[in-house]
Parts: sequence; C-alpha cells; structure tokens
Amino acid sequence: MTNYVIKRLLLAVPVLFGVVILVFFMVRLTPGDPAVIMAGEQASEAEIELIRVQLKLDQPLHIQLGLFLENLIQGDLGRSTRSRAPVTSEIMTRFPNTLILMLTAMAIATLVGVTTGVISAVKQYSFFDAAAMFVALIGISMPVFWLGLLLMLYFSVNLGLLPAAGSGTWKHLILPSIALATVPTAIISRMTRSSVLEVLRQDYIRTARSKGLRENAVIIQHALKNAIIPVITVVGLQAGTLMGGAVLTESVFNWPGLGRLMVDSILARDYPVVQGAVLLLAVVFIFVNLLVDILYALFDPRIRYD
Amino acid sequence: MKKAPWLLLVLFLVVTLCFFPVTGCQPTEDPAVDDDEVVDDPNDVAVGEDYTIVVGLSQTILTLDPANHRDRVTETVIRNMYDGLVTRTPDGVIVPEIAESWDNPEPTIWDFTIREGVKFHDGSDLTVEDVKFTFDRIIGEGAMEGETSPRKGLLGPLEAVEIVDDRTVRFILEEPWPILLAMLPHQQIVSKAYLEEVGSDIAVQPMGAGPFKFVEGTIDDRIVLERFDDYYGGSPDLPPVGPAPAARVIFEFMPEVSTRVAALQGGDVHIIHNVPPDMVATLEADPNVVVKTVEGTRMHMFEMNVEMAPLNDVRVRQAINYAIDMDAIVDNILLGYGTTVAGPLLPHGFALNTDLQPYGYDPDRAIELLTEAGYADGFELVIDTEDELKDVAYAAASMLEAIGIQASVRIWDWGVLRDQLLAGERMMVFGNWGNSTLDPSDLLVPKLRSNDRGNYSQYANPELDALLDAAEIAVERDERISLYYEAQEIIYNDAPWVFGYVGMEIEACRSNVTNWRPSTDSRINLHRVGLE
Repeated sequence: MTNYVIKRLLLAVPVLFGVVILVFFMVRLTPGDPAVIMAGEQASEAEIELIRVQLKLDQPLHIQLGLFLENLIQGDLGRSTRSRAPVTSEIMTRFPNTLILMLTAMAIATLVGVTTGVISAVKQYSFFDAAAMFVALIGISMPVFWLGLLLMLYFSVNLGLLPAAGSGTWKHLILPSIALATVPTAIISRMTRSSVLEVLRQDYIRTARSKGLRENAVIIQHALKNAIIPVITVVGLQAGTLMGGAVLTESVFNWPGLGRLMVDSILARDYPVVQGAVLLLAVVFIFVNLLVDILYALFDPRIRYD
Repeated sequence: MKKAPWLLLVLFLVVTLCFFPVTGCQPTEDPAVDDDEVVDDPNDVAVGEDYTIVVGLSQTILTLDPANHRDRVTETVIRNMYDGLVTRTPDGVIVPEIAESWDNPEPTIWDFTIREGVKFHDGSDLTVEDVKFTFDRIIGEGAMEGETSPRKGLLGPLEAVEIVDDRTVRFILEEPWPILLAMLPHQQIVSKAYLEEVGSDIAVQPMGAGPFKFVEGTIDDRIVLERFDDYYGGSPDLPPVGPAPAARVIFEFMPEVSTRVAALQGGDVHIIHNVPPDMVATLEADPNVVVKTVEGTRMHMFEMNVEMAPLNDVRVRQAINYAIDMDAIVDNILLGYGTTVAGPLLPHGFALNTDLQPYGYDPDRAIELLTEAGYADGFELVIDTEDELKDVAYAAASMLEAIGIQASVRIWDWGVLRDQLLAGERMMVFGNWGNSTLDPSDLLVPKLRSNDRGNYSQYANPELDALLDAAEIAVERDERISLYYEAQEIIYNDAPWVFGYVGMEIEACRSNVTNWRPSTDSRINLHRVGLE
C-alpha cells in the first residue's frame, strides 16, 4: 500500500507540471490585457505601457514562463498584479473558507444522500421512494446560481432568518452550503439507491436474512458495505462538481473563498493568482482521487494495490 | 483493519479542520466587528454612539494606497480614510478640506493654505511637508517606491510642489490648467513619516487624516474602519463638522447585483450602489428601503470612425443621429433614469452650449440624408460594445435597420477592443467616458482632440484642436465658456458621435440611514452619515 501511495504521489508531479504549463498559456491566450484593465479606461498609452513593464508583461512569453517556473520551484507563486500581495498569502487566506464550505456541503450531501438512497431502496416503489427520487431529479436539474438566489430571497429577505451574504458567523455558512450540497445530495441519493437495490438482490443477502438476522443488520452490515463502493466513487467525483459549484455559490453569497478569488482574478486578468489557484485546485483534486482509491481498498478487501 | 476506513476519514477531517484557525471567516469574538449586531436586524443596532454602517460595493477594490490605482470604487473606500486638499459636495461643487483657502496669483501658480490642527490617525500633525511629499510621490517618475504612480496623469501639467512657509504650499504648473481644482479631490494626503516607515505596505496598512481609520480587512474581502475621534471635522462647507457619527464602517464587496439587493432588503447592509434601473421597482416596494438618485457624470455615446467609409461622410453620421431615438432608449432601457444630451457635454456640466437642440428622432430626414450621400440602400455596420452596454447597442441597431442600414452588434472584452479602436480599425463603438470634474476639458480633449488618448472616432479637426488648446490655457471663465461654446457647435455639426445620454447614479439605503445621498461622482463618503 505504501509503495502504491508513493507511486501515485510521484505520478502527480508530471500531472501538476502539465497543469501549470497549460494554465500559464491559457490565461495568456485569453483576450484582454491586465495592464489596460488596471490602468482604467481613461489612462494614456504611456501609463499603460508603464504598468506592462512593471508587471514584466512586455517580456516574451518564454522568458515569462522561465521566470514563473524558476520562482515556482522555490515555492514562490509571484505577486498578484491587482493587489501586489504574494499569491500564496492571497490563496491561503481564501482556501480554508472554500474548504469549510466544501466539507460542510459534502457532509450534508453524503449524510442526506446516503440515508435517502438507502431508505428509497429498501422501500422501493413506496411514496417515500417516489417523492425522494422526484426531489432528487429537481435537485440535479437546478442551477446552483438560481437556487442560491431563491434561498436568499426566502430565508433572508422574506423571513429575515439568515444573513443573505458574507461571512463571519456560522449562520453565514448555512445557505451557501445548502445551495452547494443540493446537486451532490441528489446524485448521491440516486446512486446509493440503485447500488443498494442491486446488492439487495444478491444471494448472500438472502442467506443473511435466512439465518435470521434483523433487517437493520442486513441492510447496514451486509448490503450497505458492499453497495458503498460505487457511492465512494461518486462522492469523490463530486469533489470536482463542488469546486465548480463553489465558484458560483461563493459569488452569489459573497463568500470570501477561492472560487470568488478566481472569478475576480480572471476578470482582472490577474495571471499569477489564477495560476496559483488552479494549481492548488489541481493538488486538491489529485489528493481526493488518491484518497478515494485508498478508501476502495479499505472498504473492499478484494481490491489490493500491492 | 476493520475500523480503518472510519479512522482514515476522521483523520482527514481533523487534518483539514486544522486549517481553520487561519481562515478569514472570523468568529464573532473579534472585538472590532460584531457581525450579529449588523446581521440580524439593522433596526436593532444601538442608536447614537455605537453603530456600524455597512456598505455593499459592486466590485472588489484594487489597493488601499491612495497613489496606486485608477479606479472610482477604490477611491470611494480610500476617501473615507484619507482627506484631500479639497473635496466635492454631492452636487459636484469644489469646497476646501485640508486646504483652508487658496490663491491663484498667476495662471501657472496656485498657493494652498493648510488648515491648522489636522491630525493623522497616528496622532501626528499634518504639515506642508506631508502635502509636498504626497504630490511628489505621485508626479515623480519612480517616486512611488520605485514605481510611477498611475495617478500622475490626473495631475496634468503639475510640475512641482514647493513649500512656501509652514502653512502654505505652492503648486507650479508647466502651463495653465483651469481644471486643477476640479481634479484635486482625487488626490489624498499621506503622512511622509509613516510612508517612509512602511513603504509599499501602505497598501495593506493605510493611515490618513480622514474621518475613519483602518481596522482590518483585505481588498478582495471586506474593509472595516472605525471612527477617528481626533478628526479635525472635515470641510466647513459640508456640515455637520466634527467626528463621524458612526462608530464603525464596513465595506463589503458584492459583485452580484441580486446579492447586493437581497443583502440590503435582508438588512445585512445599509447602503448599496450601482442599482440597475430594473431593480428600482422591487426596492421601492420595500418599506425598509429608500432609493435615491442623482445625475451621473458618465457620458454615453456612439463614436463613429470618421476615417472609415461610409462614416467619413458627415451626412451619413447625421443620418444615424436622426435615426436613433435616444429618448426611447432612455425611457425603455434605462426606464427613465437618464437624460439625453444634445451635444458632447454633460447637461449639468460647465460651459454647456444651450443653443444646441438635440438632433431628435426623424427617420424620414435620416433616409433623405442617406440617399443624398448615395447610400439609399444602406450599408453594413457593426456596433462594438461591452457586455453591460449591449441592450442599448441592440436597440440602436434595430432602429438603424429601420432606415435600411444593416446594423449588427459585437460584444467585446474591453482590453481587446480598446487597442483596435485607437488604431482606427473599428466602425462604431458604444461606450462611455467619466467626466466627474464636470469640466469639458477632461471630456472633449481626450475624446475629440486629434490623436488623443480616448479618441475612438479618429476625429481630427485643426479648428477644434485650436479651440480646445486655447481653452486649456485660458484663465478667464468667460473666455473658456465662449471657446467651448464654439467647440460644441463644431462637434455638433460634424457629428463624430451619436450624441447619447447621461445615466443617473441609482443607489439605495435602509430607511433608517440619515444624512446620506448619492454623489454625482458616485463616491460614497460616510463621514456625515448616521442611523436612527
């Protein structure tokens, strides 16, 4: 197992390098000049040129790339062109906020999704099943942005129960994490349902029942344990969805996370911050994937990586 | 091994939770900001000495260094911590602030007398040295910690600032510049001693002589300020004079319009700006919210490339002016929150030539002119614009189609479009230009003088250049008026623009906010604003 993890971590290096190169060129190929944006619409050509020189944007691309890689190896992601603050500090003050939002959403999604999925499967074709799967269908189809606005309208403007936007207290976390959790909850519950249904038809479940186990024990110890493998895959994949969703959710709820930082930085063509943020997201993604693969082995003894 | 999966999960959660102490989500025990106070219900906020005013701004800001940006919203935040030599009333009138008075003994010399007893937030006195240092840092090449300030251009021909005595500074201009006073509110005085100590860290640890001092926050999250008790009181022309009534001020950055509106209605914020006209009805229906408007200073117009056929024919340009029903655009797209203009100047600006009447909507006359110019069958025309202005561009395109011009709209990223406009590669652009000084000088010169920095219509008329240059150095008010009158007439007849409109600044506040109204230059200054 240890060897496997080390191998996977080593494999991550070329992947991250590829991500870095790709992002470096993608942001620069995007139309728009950071210097023009920074200088404002009424600035003169000379003022814009000055900013270009100060940001080293007047250098050829390969020189810029060389500088970037040289600094990157030393752990320096450069400075934001917008705020002039080091990119690492910009990102690291934001990342925990995104993480707390994602983890809360993930916890909600897994808890609610798996529970609903299991109940739906056990009580297949019941009213609960039909209702839950209908709600799940709506959940999958609902754009996060729109849902966020609806939640805000209802709970903040109409009822005045929760703050509409911002951060600072646990109350601020509720609406954005619900908005963010909706799609994964729906997907996880549908996945769990079908997976549990499939397992329930297996022979060993019949055996378990016939040896007189209580139904709860059959479901939780025997069925769910085997049904959970595909669910773990989906939960892992949802981490990606959550990152995408976080960009929108953070914008709607004004949550000071990485997603909003990325949107602001892309609009301002703040190359160093975009590069740093994407790099961090790639690291998170690789980490989550690795974690999912390790979890497989732990949940299913048939899977061995040695 | 059996328990391992759960152990691993728990471990993962613990490791990730370890990040949280560094988070920017501060819990409520932070003494500087008690969020619950604002969040739950603004009407619960203690009245009098101890309340917080929260403002929802439409974008993040660029810096907290007064010399290192070129952005209105950034200036709005900075302006609450720093004062300038002079400031503007909400109606755009220049009044003294740190400068008590001024004198203009020669066209190129301005003497400012500095008010006594003005203190910086660190308790030190603001002196003429600080004033000189502030302006040297902006106009000197590389004077801003090795870089040159992007605000240098806002000081035009300012050559040097000299200390005359311990209360007087002298501004020496390379050539006369009648809008110096009107441009000065854009510069805020910094402390020489403090800047020499912190250098470029002033961008994160600002320290000025304004009504509020910096507490905490970052430029892309929120900025928290608190009242400066030793404030000298601000401009005597803008009563009440004295320390700010609000104990704390928080600027939140909320780029999403719907978020801003919901936060205001939910009571999370007290003031928002940049309210789109279509949101006004929603807000007006809310008894806890008041919508306020003021005439803006942003001229919106279609600039036509006078070098490119068929727009090089003045008859075609006039025809387009007749064909676009600007009143209908203001009524239907801006829902009435705007004023159409006859010529190139703001309706409430200096030296407006009131003899000029709007071209008006006259499609028959437009077709007549097109036929005369040999374009009875029309021609293909692309109107370039930015995403946020596209509605007006589409409306104009459909009006042009009605007289046979095959008009279409193309939406651009500004950074890309700008270079092509300056190179004269585009036909027609719909955009706007800020003119917060209300003076023709910083509208007509950059937009219509030959080869100037914002001349997207490629208009080049030596006669107009001569008038504009003369007005730049003319000192007598009447002389400037008559020069600009003539200039407007030339521009009106040559029609390098489809003369457009000036939108209103629409802002909104909770109904318990007192003594606040929007400024014509869209700044939000909270020195005098209270809650009841």
